[in-house]
Amino acid sequence: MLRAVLPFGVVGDSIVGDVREEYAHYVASGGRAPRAWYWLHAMRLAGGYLMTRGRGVEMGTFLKDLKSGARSLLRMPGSAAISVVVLAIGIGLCTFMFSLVYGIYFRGLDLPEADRVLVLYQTNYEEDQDELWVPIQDLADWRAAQTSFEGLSGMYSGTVNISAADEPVRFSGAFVTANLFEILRVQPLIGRGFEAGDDDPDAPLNVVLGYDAWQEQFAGDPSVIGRDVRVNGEPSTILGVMPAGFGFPQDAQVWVPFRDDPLATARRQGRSALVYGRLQDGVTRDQATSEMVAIAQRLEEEYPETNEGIGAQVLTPIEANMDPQIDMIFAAMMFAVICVLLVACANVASLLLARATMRTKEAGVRIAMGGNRLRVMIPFFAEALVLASAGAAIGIGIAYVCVDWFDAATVADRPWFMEFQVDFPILLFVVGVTFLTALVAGILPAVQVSRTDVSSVLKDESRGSSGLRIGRVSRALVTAEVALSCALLIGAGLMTKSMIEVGKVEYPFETEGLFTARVGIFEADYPDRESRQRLWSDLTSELAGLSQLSAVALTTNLPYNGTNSRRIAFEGVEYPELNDYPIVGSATVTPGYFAALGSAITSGRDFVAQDDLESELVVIVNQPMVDRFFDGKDPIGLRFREGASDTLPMYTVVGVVPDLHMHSGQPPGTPGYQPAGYYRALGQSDASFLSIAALSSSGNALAVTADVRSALRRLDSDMPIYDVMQQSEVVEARMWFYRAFGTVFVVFGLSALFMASVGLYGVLSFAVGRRTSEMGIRMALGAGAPDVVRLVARQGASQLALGLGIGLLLALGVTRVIGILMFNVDPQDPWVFGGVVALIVTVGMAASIFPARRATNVDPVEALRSE
Amino acid sequence: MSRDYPSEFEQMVLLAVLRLRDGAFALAIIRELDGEVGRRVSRGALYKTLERMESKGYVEWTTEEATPDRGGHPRRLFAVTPLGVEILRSAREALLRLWAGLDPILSGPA
Repeated sequence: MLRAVLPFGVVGDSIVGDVREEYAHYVASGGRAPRAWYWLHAMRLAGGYLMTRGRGVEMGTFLKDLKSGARSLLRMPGSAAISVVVLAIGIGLCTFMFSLVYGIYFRGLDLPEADRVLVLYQTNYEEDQDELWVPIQDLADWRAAQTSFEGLSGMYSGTVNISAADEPVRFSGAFVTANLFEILRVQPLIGRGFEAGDDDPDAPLNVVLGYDAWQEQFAGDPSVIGRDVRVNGEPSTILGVMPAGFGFPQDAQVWVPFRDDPLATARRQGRSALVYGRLQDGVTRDQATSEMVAIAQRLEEEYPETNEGIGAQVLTPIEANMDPQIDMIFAAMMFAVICVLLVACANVASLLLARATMRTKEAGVRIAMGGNRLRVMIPFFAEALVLASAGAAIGIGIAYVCVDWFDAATVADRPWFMEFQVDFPILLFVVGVTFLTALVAGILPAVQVSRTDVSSVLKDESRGSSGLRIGRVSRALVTAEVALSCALLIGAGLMTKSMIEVGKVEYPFETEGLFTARVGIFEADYPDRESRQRLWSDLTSELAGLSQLSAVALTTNLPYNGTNSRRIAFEGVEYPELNDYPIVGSATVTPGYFAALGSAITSGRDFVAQDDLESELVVIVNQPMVDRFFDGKDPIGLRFREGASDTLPMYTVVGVVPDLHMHSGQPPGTPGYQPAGYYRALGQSDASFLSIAALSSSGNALAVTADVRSALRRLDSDMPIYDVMQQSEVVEARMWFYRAFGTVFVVFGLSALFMASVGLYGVLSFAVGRRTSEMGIRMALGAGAPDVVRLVARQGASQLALGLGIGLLLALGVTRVIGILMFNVDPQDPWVFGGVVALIVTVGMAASIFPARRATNVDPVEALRSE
Repeated sequence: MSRDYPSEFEQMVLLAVLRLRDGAFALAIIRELDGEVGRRVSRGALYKTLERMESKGYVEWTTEEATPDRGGHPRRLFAVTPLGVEILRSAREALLRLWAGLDPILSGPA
C-alpha cells in the first residue's frame, strides 16, 4: 500500500527502506506491539503522501479545506446532522461486524508465537470423519516418533471438584499431559507448572489452579502453593496458579495431569485426547503434516485391526473450531453490513450533490480562471471527510455497545481464545473505513462539479445549477439505496419471522416448572457399577421424598442438551456396509422420567425398577423413530442392537413417547434436524454423570434448589451440584444463536430502511425545491395542486419501482445464504417479500408526497419573481 | 534581485546534513534534529522538504548498497550542494546583520 503512493523508482524504494530499517531498530530495542507500530507509521506516511500528491495541493491547503468544510456544514446543521447519524450507523455496524470477524478469524490465541501452535487430529475419511481425537496409545506412538513439533500435548476437558476444607466446589477442568504449559510457553503466575513425570500413571496427584479458581476458593492467597486438597476425592497438592484469562483448551479453571497409562488398555479401548503441538523452528505446517501422515500410515501397517483407514491432519486452532457453515453466515453478515455502509455513502453523496449545485458557479469561475479541476474537487472530499469523521466518532460508540453486548452474550459458548473488543486493530479499521467512506461519498459530487461546463455556467446568470446534470446521478443513487435496503429488509424480515417461529415452538414438556441440575460422582469414591447404581437409586428416593417435587427422575441427556449418536441394527435386516446402519440419538433415563418432564407414554409401558441387567433389555423409542423406521406401525416388541457387531445384545421396544427434542445442535424445523432416538433404562446401563429432572409442584422450579442441595449432601458430602437451571433456560441457551444473529440482521435491515427513506426524501425535496418556479408557472397556468403532486410523485414512483426490481433480485441471492440461520421459514416466504415491498412503497411514497405538497403551497407570483 | 532565503526548517535540515557529513540519511537527520535542537520531525515532512530542496538545487543524493534489515531497499545519502552552502551562508549573514547591535536586549538573563 505504502509503495503505491510513494514516488517511483529509487526515491520511493529508499523511503520504504527507511521505514523497514526503523522498524528493525524498533523491534531490536524491544518496542511494544511492533506490528501495530509498523502499520501506524506506514499509514501516516502513506496518508501524508496521498494528500499532497496532487499538483500544487499541499497539506496545509487541505486542512483549510477541512476547516471550511466543517464551517459550511455547520451552516446547514439539519442535513449535516442527518448525514452524520446515517454515517454513524453505517460505520458503527460495519465496525461491529469487523470486530466479530477479527475476533473469530484473526485475533488468534493469546500465546507467544501463537501461529506455531497447531491442533492434530486423526481422520477416517471412509467414515467421513476428519476431526477425531487421538487414542492414548496412538498419541504415545506419535510422541515417540515425530520430530516436527517441540512436543505434543494431549488433553481432555472434564469436571474437577476441589475440596479444601468444607464443601467441594466444582470447576471446569482440563486433564493435560505434563508438557502442556511448556508447549504453550505460558508460565504460572506463582508456583510452578507440571514437570515431566507428573503425568506418570503412578505419580502423586498435583493440581494447577486457574486465576479465577484461586481468587474464588482461596481468596487469592499466595500461600496455597504446596497446600494439600482433595481433587475429585483424591489427595493432591497445589503446584501453581496460572495467570488471569488463561483457560486452555476451552474454559478450564483447574489443570490436572493426564495420568492414563496407554499400556493399561488395549488399542482404541482407553481414552482419546485432543492434541496440540508447537512446531519446531524452521518446520512448516506442510512438513509436519506429511510427517504425521507417514507416522499414521506406519501405525496402520503395524496395527491393521485398529488403525485401518486412520490418517492424521494438522490444523490451526481457528480451522479446528470454525465450520464452513459459520463462515458462510459471517460472509453473509459482512456483505449485509457493507450494503448498509454503501447505503449510508449513497445518502451522503446525495446530500453533497445537492450542495454541489449551489457551488457550480463558484467552481465554473475558478475553472474559467485557470484553477485546476483537482483543486476544485478537493473541498467535496474535505466535506465528506468531516462528515465521515464525525460519523466515525459516534460509530465507534455504537460499535462499542454492540460488541460489548455480543461479547457478554457469547462468553459461555465460544472457545476461550475468541475475544470480542474494540481495540487497536479495530480502530485502525475504523480509520480506513472512514477515509474510504469519505472517498466513496465525495467522489460523485466532486467529479460532477469538476466536469462543470464553464461557458454554460457563466452564460446562465440566473440558474447557477443548470450547468450541472446532477438529476440523473442523484436518481441513480436513490435507486441503489432502495435496491440495497430492499434486499436487506427481506433478509431482516425473514430473520424476524424466524425469531417469532422460535418463540412459538410449543415444547412437548414442562419448561418453567422443571428443575434441572447436573451431578457427578468420581470413580475413586464409587469404583464399581453396583455402588453407582445404589447411589443413583438412593438419590432418586431422597429427592422423591421432598414435598415440593411431584415427580423426580435422572437422565444422561436433558431435552435440548444433546444425545449420544449411535448406529443401530434392526433384527432381521441386512446392512452391507457400515454406513448403512442408521444413526439415531440415545439417552439413558430412570423410571418416571417422562412423567417428570410433564409428558407421557403414548403406547406400551414406562421403565420400571425391575428393568435391570437380570431382566430383558428394553428401550422406549420416540415418535420420530416410529415414523422413520416403522411406517407408523406399532413397534412394541420389535428388537434392535446398539452397534454393528452381531455379538451385541438385542433391545426390545416396550414403549413409545412423543418427540421430546433429544438433540441439541439444531432446533426442530431447521435443515438437517434428525429427531429419531430412543431411551434406555439406567438400571440396564451405567453412568457417572447425570442430570436431575424434577417437576416442581409449585411451578417455581428454582425455589427447590436449596432443598435439593441438602438432600444431596445427606447422601454424599463430596457430591456437588451444578448447572442449576429451569428447563426453559436449557432451551434458551440452545436457541440463543438464532435470536442473536436474527436481532443483528433486523438491526441492519431497519437501519437501511431509515437511510433509504431519508435519502429518498432528501433527493426529492431538493429536486422539488429546484423546480419551484416551474411549479409556480404550472399553477399560474391553471394546473391544480393534485396535478403537481402527481407530477412529483411519478418521479419518485419510477425510482422506487426500479430500485425494488433490482432489490428483489438481490434478495433472492441473499436469502439463499441466510437460509442456514432460519427456523421454520421458507427463504422465499411470500409474506415477507410482499410485506417488504409494501413497506418500501409506503415509506417511499410518503417521502415523495411531502415535498410535492410543499411545492403546491408556493405562491405563483413569488415563484415567478424568484426567476 | 530579491534574495531567496531558505525557511527556518530548511536551514535546520541543511545544517543537519552538513553536520552528519558522510552519514546523512533520512533517519540520521531525524535523530540529529531531535537530539541537537529537540525538534521532532515527521518522516513525511522531512522527505517533502528534502524533495523541495532538491528541486531548488540545495541538496543532492547518492544511494548506498541495500542491507538486509532494510528489506533489500537502498538507502539515500544526502549532501548539501555548493548552491545550498551558498544560500545557507547568505541566510546566516542576513541574520547576523539583523542581530547586530541587539545584544544588550537579547543576551540578558533568559
